[in-house]
Amino acid sequence: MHDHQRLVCALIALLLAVTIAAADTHIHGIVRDSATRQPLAGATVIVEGTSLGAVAARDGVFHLHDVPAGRLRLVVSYVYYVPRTIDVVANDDVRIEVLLSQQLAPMREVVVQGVRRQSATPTQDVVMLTQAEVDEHRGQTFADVLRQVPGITVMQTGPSIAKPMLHGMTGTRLVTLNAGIAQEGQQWGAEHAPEIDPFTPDRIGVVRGPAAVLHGPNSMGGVISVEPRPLTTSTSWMGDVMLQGFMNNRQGAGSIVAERGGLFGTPLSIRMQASGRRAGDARTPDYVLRNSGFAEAAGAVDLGLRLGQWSLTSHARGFATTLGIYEGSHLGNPADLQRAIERGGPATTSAFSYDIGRPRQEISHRLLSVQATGPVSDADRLRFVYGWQQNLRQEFDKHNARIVGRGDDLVERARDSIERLSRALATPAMELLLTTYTADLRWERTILDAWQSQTGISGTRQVNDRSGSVFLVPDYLAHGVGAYTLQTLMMGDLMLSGGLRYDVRWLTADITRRGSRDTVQQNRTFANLAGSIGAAWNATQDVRLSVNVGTGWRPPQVNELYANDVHHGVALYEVGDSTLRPERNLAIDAGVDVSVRGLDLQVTAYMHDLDGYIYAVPEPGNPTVTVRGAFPTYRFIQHDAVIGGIDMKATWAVSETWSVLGTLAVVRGQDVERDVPLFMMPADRGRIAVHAHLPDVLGLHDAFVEAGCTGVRRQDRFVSGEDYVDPPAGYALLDLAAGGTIHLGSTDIRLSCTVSNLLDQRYRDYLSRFRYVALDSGRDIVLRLAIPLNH
Amino acid sequence: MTHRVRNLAPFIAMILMLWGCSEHSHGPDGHDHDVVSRVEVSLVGLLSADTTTYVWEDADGAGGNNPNRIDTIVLEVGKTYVGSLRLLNSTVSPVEDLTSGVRDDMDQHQFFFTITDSLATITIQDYDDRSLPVGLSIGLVGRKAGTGSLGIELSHFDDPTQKTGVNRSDETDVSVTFPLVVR
Repeated sequence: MHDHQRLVCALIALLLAVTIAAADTHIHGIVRDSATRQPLAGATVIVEGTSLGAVAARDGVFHLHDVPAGRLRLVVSYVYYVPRTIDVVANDDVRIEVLLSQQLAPMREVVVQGVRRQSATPTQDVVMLTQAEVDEHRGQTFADVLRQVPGITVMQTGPSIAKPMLHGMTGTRLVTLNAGIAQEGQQWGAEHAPEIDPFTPDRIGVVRGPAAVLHGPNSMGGVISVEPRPLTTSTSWMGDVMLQGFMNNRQGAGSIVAERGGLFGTPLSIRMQASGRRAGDARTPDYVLRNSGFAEAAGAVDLGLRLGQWSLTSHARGFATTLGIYEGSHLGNPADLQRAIERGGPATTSAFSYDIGRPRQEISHRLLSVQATGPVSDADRLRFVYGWQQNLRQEFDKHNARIVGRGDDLVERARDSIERLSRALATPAMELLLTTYTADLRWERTILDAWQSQTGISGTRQVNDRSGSVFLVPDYLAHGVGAYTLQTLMMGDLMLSGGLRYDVRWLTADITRRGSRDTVQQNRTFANLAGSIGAAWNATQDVRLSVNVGTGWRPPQVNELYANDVHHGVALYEVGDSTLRPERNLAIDAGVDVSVRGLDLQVTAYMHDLDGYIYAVPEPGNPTVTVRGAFPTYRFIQHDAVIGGIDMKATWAVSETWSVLGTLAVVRGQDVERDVPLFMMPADRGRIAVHAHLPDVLGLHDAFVEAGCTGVRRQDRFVSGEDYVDPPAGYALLDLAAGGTIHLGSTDIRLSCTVSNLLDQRYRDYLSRFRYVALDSGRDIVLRLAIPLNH
Repeated sequence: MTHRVRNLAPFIAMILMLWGCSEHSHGPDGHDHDVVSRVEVSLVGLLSADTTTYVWEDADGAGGNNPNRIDTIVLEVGKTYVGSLRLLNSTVSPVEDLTSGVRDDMDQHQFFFTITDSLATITIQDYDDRSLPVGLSIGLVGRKAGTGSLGIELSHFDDPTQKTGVNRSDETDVSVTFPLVVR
């Protein structure tokens, strides 16, 4: 352990020595949005009258090397922003900060997708990840990318299933916006991850505050937005190839994107993407997690067409995955689980394999959205979005794999057994087909230059068809309609916004109980109002304050109403309550952004006062007795609760080379009726990292080295005895990353290497669903390569 | 005009794609796999030859309602019984006997019995090919008067080499408890 730490110190010292060695005439700085202070990755900086230029990378930082000394003019530009020219006197080392303001007028000539004010209006609390940040942190799951957003933690079921959690809320309390429509999959289970390709070329971000009213009642916890980038109008093909290798589970992954405009000499643009990945068993420091491999394939086609001032875009997405679930997590009864907990790991050691057996999930998601937008007058625009999506989830259990043969003699019985077994093996224990149609019509009006209004109506139809022998959600048909308005007002340095939304949702569920052929139909109607107001004030050039107050709601989900079956992984029965009412929150958050020279600090504090928070609690007096023994019964209840916390993110540029990054997230949840802490709230966590931007060496440009340490406290707020085991100990993990760009001819190849859990430490995370029976993954070395394909 | 049509063709193709998709899943409702819902313990007094069958039954299968029938096993102090176990699926009609599944794969199964307070002693009478105990046939002797319980657990070993005769597996197929009276 100490030797390892010494090694890390030595490495850092070596890097330091290398970086001090070279110095040139160098201009560097950071490009930001003037209102939100978000760094603008991809902004270009050109030295006027020369061929020298640079592109802002991660965190908006750009570097211009070997510039001619003396007076220079820089041109800084970025799509949707007003370009700026800046005069500088170049000497040894110049640092500048460039603030670009957004263009309010649509950029019709440049961008096919004529969405005006593409980025959110300023009072919306939007955290958009930059392309560089996304590329650098693409992991094996979609949620891995989101870890970069302050306030997001990840709920893990083995290495392949990761569910994002924002401010202690997850699943059906978050909306994931995919290609302009809310992604509708089976999000109710802890082992149900969003069906989105981690290679998605789209822009990824998080929306909170009044803007969340645009996205329906389930957005009370926030909106994770996966928004397509505008299509290109360039008439030559361009794109990129990305390749990844993960050492831990010997995973290989690749993606290719190609796009161009002006197809057939018409204003038609296209972008196509295809990706795939294959992973074997993950490895903890002590053993291999048998049957934890997975295989994934995804594809996307985006089309954009301009007809006069109108634009028509369509986004098609396909995603299919087969996820192995660690064999040792599937248990027969609570006594089996107890034995597995006492052992702490698998019963037998197994060798690494790519095989995916049972239990496993096979999931596919198909999505199509068509969007039309255009002006109807100088000040008015209409936007119509139609979406269709279908999610097929098949879960194959381990216990179903045994069949007793029928017949009088051994041979007959064996034949019957094999025959029926092969039939049963092809049949999932649970199959759910969820089809969702959405339509949204929005009217955008610019009343004054400073006053913008968006008003709309939306409707959804959703059909769930269940088959198999597992009774966690019933067949249902749901319809919903909603109407909303969002108003934004800018008054100098003060920006105000307010949103209001009313929704009605009709649910018809056909409930079949196990062992019964009868179906009981239940109809429920939920209707409620959501509203929110927000203010942001640029107090000075360096300080920005924001505050949002809002109330939202969420209808009870079908599993909360009607679940009635066992969860094998945690050996418990979950029972719904069909009389649950919607839950409602009153949310307040306040944030401060300080951007003084060299230091960037964002702090957000938030509080949700929840009326009728729905969650499952054990009923100790009422176990479910089965032929496999007595299982704890968890029943969905509805109590008043409070969730609050603080997020912090700081970037301190110490020098031209060095910067220090820090994040901190603290969440507290309390059931105020029972006066106990809420279950599965993330433990306090923080990360501190040192980032070095190195001078060009050996043809490597924009090279960086980053060393970080993530610390997680033990979750010490829990009800003793309610869970099988108390929360695991806190832990600290070291990580190391290095990368850069190589110019090869006219292409810039980006490559990076990241080592996570550098010391291969044994740990269990509180939010990991496997913490009862297995350690979390050990050291992983990830190689990433991005090759642009410019024609 | 032809240009317009050609431009719109990709969109039309995509919308057509929707019509090809049904809202109904093709999986069968409920599927073929074996669920034990009824456990029978038949005891024959060694000298009396009278057979008594005790039943543990959860007629609607796991979940839903709790077991509908759990008989109390009654033994006499000092008396020896020969017993056999049957596993049945009573959720289907006709009732299916699943005992042969254990008998055909003895090397993958073992019953474990627990009796509280040493009210009785139990011995396993049947062995698999590796001479490891199975437990479909048992011998039972009442030791002292009292009230307690008889627990029966069936461990399933996917890999027969994991069966040691002593250890339970992580896959319990059956775990039921009968009340026990010895008088």
